[in-house]
Formats: sequence, C-alpha cells, structure tokens
Amino acid sequence: MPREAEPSLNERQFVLQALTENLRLDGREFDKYRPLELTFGDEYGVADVTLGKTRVLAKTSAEVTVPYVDRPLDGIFTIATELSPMTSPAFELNRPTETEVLLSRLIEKTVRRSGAMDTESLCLVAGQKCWSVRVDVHVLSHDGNLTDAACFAVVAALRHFRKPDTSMEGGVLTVYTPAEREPVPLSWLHSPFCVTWSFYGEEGEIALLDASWSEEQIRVGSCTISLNRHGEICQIAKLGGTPVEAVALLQCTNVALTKVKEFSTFLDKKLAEDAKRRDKGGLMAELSAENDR
Amino acid sequence: MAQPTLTFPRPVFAKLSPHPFLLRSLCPQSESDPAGRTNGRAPREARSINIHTSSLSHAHGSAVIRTGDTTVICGVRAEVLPVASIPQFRPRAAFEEETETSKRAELKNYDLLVPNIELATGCAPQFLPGVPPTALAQTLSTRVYSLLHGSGMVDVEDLRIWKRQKKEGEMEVDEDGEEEREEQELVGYWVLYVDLLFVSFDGNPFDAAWTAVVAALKDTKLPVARWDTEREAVVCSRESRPLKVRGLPVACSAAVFLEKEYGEPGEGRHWILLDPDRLEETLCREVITMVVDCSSGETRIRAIEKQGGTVVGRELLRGFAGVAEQRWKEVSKAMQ
Amino acid sequence: MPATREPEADLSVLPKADGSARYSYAGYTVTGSVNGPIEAQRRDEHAYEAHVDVIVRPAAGVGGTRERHLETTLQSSLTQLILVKNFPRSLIQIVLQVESAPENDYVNTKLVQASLNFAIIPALLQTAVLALLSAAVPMRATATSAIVAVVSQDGASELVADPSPREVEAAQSVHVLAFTSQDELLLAESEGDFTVKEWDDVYDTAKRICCQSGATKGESIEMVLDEKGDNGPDMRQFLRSTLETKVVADLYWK
Repeated sequence: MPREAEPSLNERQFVLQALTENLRLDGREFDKYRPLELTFGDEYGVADVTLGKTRVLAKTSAEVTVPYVDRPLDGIFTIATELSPMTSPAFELNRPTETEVLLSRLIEKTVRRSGAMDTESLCLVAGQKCWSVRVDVHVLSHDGNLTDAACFAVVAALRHFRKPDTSMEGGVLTVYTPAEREPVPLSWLHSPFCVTWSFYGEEGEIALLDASWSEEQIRVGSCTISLNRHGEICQIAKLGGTPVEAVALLQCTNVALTKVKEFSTFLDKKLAEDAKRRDKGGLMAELSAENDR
Repeated sequence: MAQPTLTFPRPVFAKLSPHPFLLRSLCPQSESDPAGRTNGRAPREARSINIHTSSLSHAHGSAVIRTGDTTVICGVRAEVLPVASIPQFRPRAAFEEETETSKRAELKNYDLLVPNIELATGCAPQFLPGVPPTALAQTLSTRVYSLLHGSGMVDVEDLRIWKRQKKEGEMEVDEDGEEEREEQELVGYWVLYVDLLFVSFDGNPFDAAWTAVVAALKDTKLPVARWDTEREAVVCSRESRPLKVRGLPVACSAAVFLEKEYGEPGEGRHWILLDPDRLEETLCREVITMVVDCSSGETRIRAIEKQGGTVVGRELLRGFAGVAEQRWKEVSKAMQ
Repeated sequence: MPATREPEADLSVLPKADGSARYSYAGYTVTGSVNGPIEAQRRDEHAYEAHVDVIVRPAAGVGGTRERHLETTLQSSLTQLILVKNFPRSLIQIVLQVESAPENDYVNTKLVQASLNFAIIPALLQTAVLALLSAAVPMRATATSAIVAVVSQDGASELVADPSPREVEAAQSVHVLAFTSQDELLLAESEGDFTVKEWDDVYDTAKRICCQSGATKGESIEMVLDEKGDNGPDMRQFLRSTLETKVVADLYWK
C-alpha cells in the first residue's frame, strides 16, 4: 500500500521558521480555526462538517435490539470511526492505523463516556428491548485536525437526530414508523467538543490551534481538551510528545473554553435554522426540543 | 531422425496457456476434429444434474447436488423463534390487510430465512483455510438470500406458530381443527437456516447452490408446533408436515468466451458456454444468469443477472430465455 | 423525496483524492473518490492489467455481504470501461461512500440487511464513472444506468423509472440496466416475476433514459434538449453537461 509522503527537511524548516516569526502557512493567527461549516442532510441525524479542507460526515441511526446482559437498563450507544481509503490510500479497510485508533478513542471518551447522552432513556423493556443508537463517522477528506471536526460532527448529528416514537400498551411495544408519528429527539444532557492544540519548538513553547495536515506532520506534541460550554472538562489527552509547561496548558484550556462556547452557539444556531427550514405550518416551533443545556 | 517436436499432454497445455487451449478446442483445425469445449461438452450443453434428498439425519430437510465436479450439500434446519425475542416485532393491526407484499416483508424483517454459504477449504485450490469468507461466498449468499425472499417460495403462514385458545368444553387439542371462533395469537415463528457447503467446486456455483436450496426446501418437513399454556412454551409434536414450496425456480448460468484474450472487448468471435466449469470461468469475464420458473405452464423469469461485458445484448438475452427453459425441464425432471 | 428531481453532480469535491465526484439523484447521494493508478498489493497484482478495487461503504453500519455483492457487480462493470491494460501491475481504487438513501416513511428500517440493494446500483455506477472522469483515468467508454420497476395496478402493469423505496417493495419486478456510451448493454440485473415481453419493454425504457443523446448523434445539443419532454432524465446528456461545466470552470483563465 502506498504510504503518505513525509514532509521534506526544507518544508519542515520553512514551516518552523515561519512559526517562530509568528506566521502560519495559511496566514491564520495561532489561535484561529479554519472556517467551520455545518450542513444537515434531508434526513434526521446527518451532519456534514467541513473545517478548511477537512471534511467529515456523521450519520446517526437507531434500531431496536436486545440490551447487553450485564447492563439490562441501558440502551446501546456506539460511535464507529473507520477511515476508508477515501481519506487517503494509505488507509486500508479492516486494518486500523494509529490515527484511527486515537480518533475513535478520543471521541468515545468525549461523547460517550462523558455521559452526553442519557443511555438509560434508550431502554424500552428492561433486559429485553432497547434502542441501539449508532453514529457512523465517515472521513471524506483529511487535512488536519480530524478529532475536532469529527467530534463536532458527531455531536451535531446526534442532536439533530430523531428516533422513531414508541409506546407500550399491555406489555406490547410498538415502534411507530415516521409516517405514523413524528420521530422524537434523543435525551441529550450536554454537548462536549474537542479542541486540539499542537505544540512546536524545543520545549513546546509555540501552541497552535486547528493545525492543518502539513502542520500536524511536524508537531512535537499535541493535546486534545474536551469540554462543554459550562467549562466542565470531559477529558484531556496529551499522549506523549515533548513535555509542555503546566501553566501553558492551563492557558490552552482557557482558550479552549472560549472556542467551545463559540462551537456551542454555532451549533445551536444551525439547529434552529434547520428546524425552521423543516417547519411546516408552525408546528415545529412547538415540537422543537433543542434545549440549551 | 525426425526433429523432436515440443508437445505437451493436454493437462499441461491447459495449465500453461489456458486461453489458447480452450480456443483451439472450440475452433478445430481439421474436419475430423469435432468442435467442442475442453470438457467434451458442446457450448450449449450443461452438465447433468444429480440430486439426493434427505441424506442428513439431523436436518429438517437436506439435499446433495452434483453436477460434474461441483458438489453442494444443503441442509435446512428449523429453529423456533418466540416473538418476544424479536426486538422489532410488531403485531399486525386488525384492520391491516395481509397482502403478498406484507407477507414478504414479514419474512424479511424478522429474518426468517437465513441462507449461509461456505466454500470448504480445499474444494478448489483458491480457497484457503483460516481466512474470512471470500467475496465469492458473500456474493453468493446475498444472491441466494435475495432470490429466496424475492421468489416467494416460502409462505410466512407456514412458519407461524400460533397459540390457540379453545372455547370451554373443547379441551381436546386438535391441531388441524380449524375452528372459526377460536382465538389465536401469534407466539413465534420457525426460522429456517439454510446452510450450504461446497464440498467440491468446479465452476457455476450459483446454479448448483440454488438447485440445492430448492431441493432441500422441498424436502423440508417441519414438526407441528403449538403453544403449551401450562408450560408457557412452544412444544413440538413428533409428527411433521412438509413445508409448502411454491413454484420451482431454476437458475441457468453461462459465460461468454472471447476469441481475443487481451484484445478490445467486442473484437473477434465469441462463444456462449452454458454451465461453465472452473477453467472456463477463469477465462471468461462476462457472465449471465437467468432464473426461470415454468411450473405454472408459462415461462416466468425470476431474476436476470448479466455483468462483466458487452457481448450479450437484447437479442442474445432473449434467446437465452429459451436455453433457460430447456434447463428448467432437465432440472425439474431431476427433482422428481 | 421527490423522485423527479433532476440529477445533480459536483466533480473533484475532495482535495486529496486523484479524482472525486458527488452525485445525487432520486434521494440517493453518493460521494466517490478515485485513486490511481497506484501501487498494487502483491495479492492483487496482475501482470497484464490494472486491478480495479471497488469499495462500497454504507451510510450507516458496517459493510456486509450485500456491499460485497455491489462491489463485485461494479468491479466487473468498471473493469470493462477502464482501459486496464494501460496500467499493468497497478491498482485503481474506487471508494464509494453512500451519504444518504431515500427512506421509506412507512417502515422502520433495519440497519443490517442482507438482500440485494438494486435501487442503489445506478447511483453508485454513475458516481464511479464521474469520479473516474474527474481522475482522468483512461476509459474505453462511459456508462449510464437506470432503474425501472414494473408495478402492477388493477391488473395492468406499468413501468416506473426511478421508483421510490415503497414502489420497489410493492413492485412486481425491479430492473437495473446500464449501457455504455456505445449503446451496448453493460449490466442487467432483474428481480421479481416477469416475462420476456415485460423485460423487452423495460429494456426500451431504460435505454431511452440512458442513451437519449446517443440516438440523435450528430445533431446539436439543443435538438436533444427540445426532444426531452416527459421521457425522464437523460443520463448521457447529464454526464456530458456536468463535464462541460467542469471544464469551463477549470479553463476560465484562458
């Protein structure tokens, strides 16, 4: 299989030299994101996120299944992140690379383990029937900072998603088709987002937000901070790399919070716009269940 | 002394240059040499088919099919599936009318017919041990699954297991007594696991697999099952009744052999080889499969699959229906 | 989902792939990428021609047996189109990512389905051809594809092009046909219960959708547009105009 070309020494030096002169290749400031765009599909639960040239598509689906034996009162919630050769021919199907493993672990920790979704609400009949909610993350193109884009797409897709309505009558569960009853949103608790810093320099003294692919290839370390708009940190991952000053990391966290607040407002705005678009005869204004928590 | 000429026995020639080998066989040089395929058949001649049923003692129905060197075993195993274990189960509302479409959807939604195909290690050189199912096995099982559901051979009514509440005073259980006033509730289904194993593989797997499925289903006898109110479980009686199988779809496949091995498609002559063997399959790109059912007296096509080339057009496909009809007669005769 | 919507396509949507296309029609949206010719793995290497690798990825869930079947079908068709002999020992990799498929509001969809998914083949094939064109992979011909269902209503059967999932479910038979730009039948897949006569009618309808502009070869494009009327979309014309738009956009500096 072909491998990704490594940046040459010249490229490496050029980028680094520019950084010491407070310049990035694309002219951004160090703590600026590339333009973030979000579009929802015609169906519920599809979010297409572009961050510069990075593009991620998340699709949510739900079906009724049997719960795990050890967790009879919980629904099933899975996030699948498989990188296909579409991202780059270097990725092969069914053979996860390090990028893929790290990506799925970070998103798993940020969204699933932080309890962003109330999985107990997915339970239909204890020990027998529950919803299985699945988010498939499809990376269409990778130009750096996959984690932040993928996490944003996952959260957006889940909040946009509507699962079929159900009812219990006399021990018989009925799952209504979309034609019979309007689908209902998931029970969502908080929206965590990832913010990734990349470090450069001898002691990691230069910190960049939203590194592009070429910048990502020459960084000496990185740190992904996941938090929600209330400043509650879900996870911090600094996986090896050059040691970084604790104070600098604190500063990074503070900046991350402002970014997360921006993300959160942006997503709320987009969801409201989409709800308005779907609004047929003012009914949706009532049904709109996007809470601001 | 005569010059020693470079000659090979047939098998060596076939191994070394399979394409010229088959080509030479199809267009002979001299009058005395009859044209034919390397396996001795005429282009439109299929291998004769041999069917044995009920050979597996623990399956509810089984069949062993042999055509040439392709041998398939098919076993149908029925398992009881209580409706409580179907997560997405939804009882049919009283006002909903039962149609052919809804019946088929029921079979499909609850996965009541589950085919699985295994190409045994060593049935042909290309199948290695310890690897996940090959693309061929997966493709075959999708096609069998699709045809099984699409042809409507099995009626979901046959697979339903009812709980019948008799009116008082009628305690004697009579399974076949179709009482008008009795209340019945659906408690479960029979799930048919249709397992196919290729013991030996010599081309044309789909035809053999499908014939095996049809023969095994025709051979299937399901135990009479009912709901036992006291034990709160489905019980089966010793007696069994044959599964009703509607129609007799028969698959007929052919491959298109081109004169130019590496030339542009469409150049030169071509031959349509019915029921190709393994050597022919490796040399042909374009394949065509037609599934026909003439059991109603009229020829109904159940499926067409043509891919991998541009030789077979409208006329050839139309003509192929006649070839498939002929094949149907042969197979239905073998089925009896 | 309005099935009569005109097909839409964008070329070269992915910055990193050699070629890519995003195609949407009748509720299906597929993004395809093409990389190639690239180095082939040992097991896929062929001494005389390029190996065409097709990967179909469903929108939700992991690819199962039915994706394998789609891959096999597409691979055998695309190998016919691509001039594989120009690139011995190499690999042409085509990834087709389904973004959305029309949903049937009257049933709750199951995630894992084993049966053939006929209705998606035209969208996949069309995307693959567009992506191959965008990657400038040499081809013998392009191809267009159409799906036609035979729906019986009150005893009379009717042909429906681009049926909705609900129509597919209730249809007597469903047919997918693909034609090359030389009007040859490249792919024919049918399922259901039908006669040779019905198939013939289906063939005519599908051919009209796929090869309209081929029937009026040599005439001006305006003429073809005038003739269109209620015959449904003209796939070949669509393919052509998509590429013309792209070429015009790429050469605007000239």
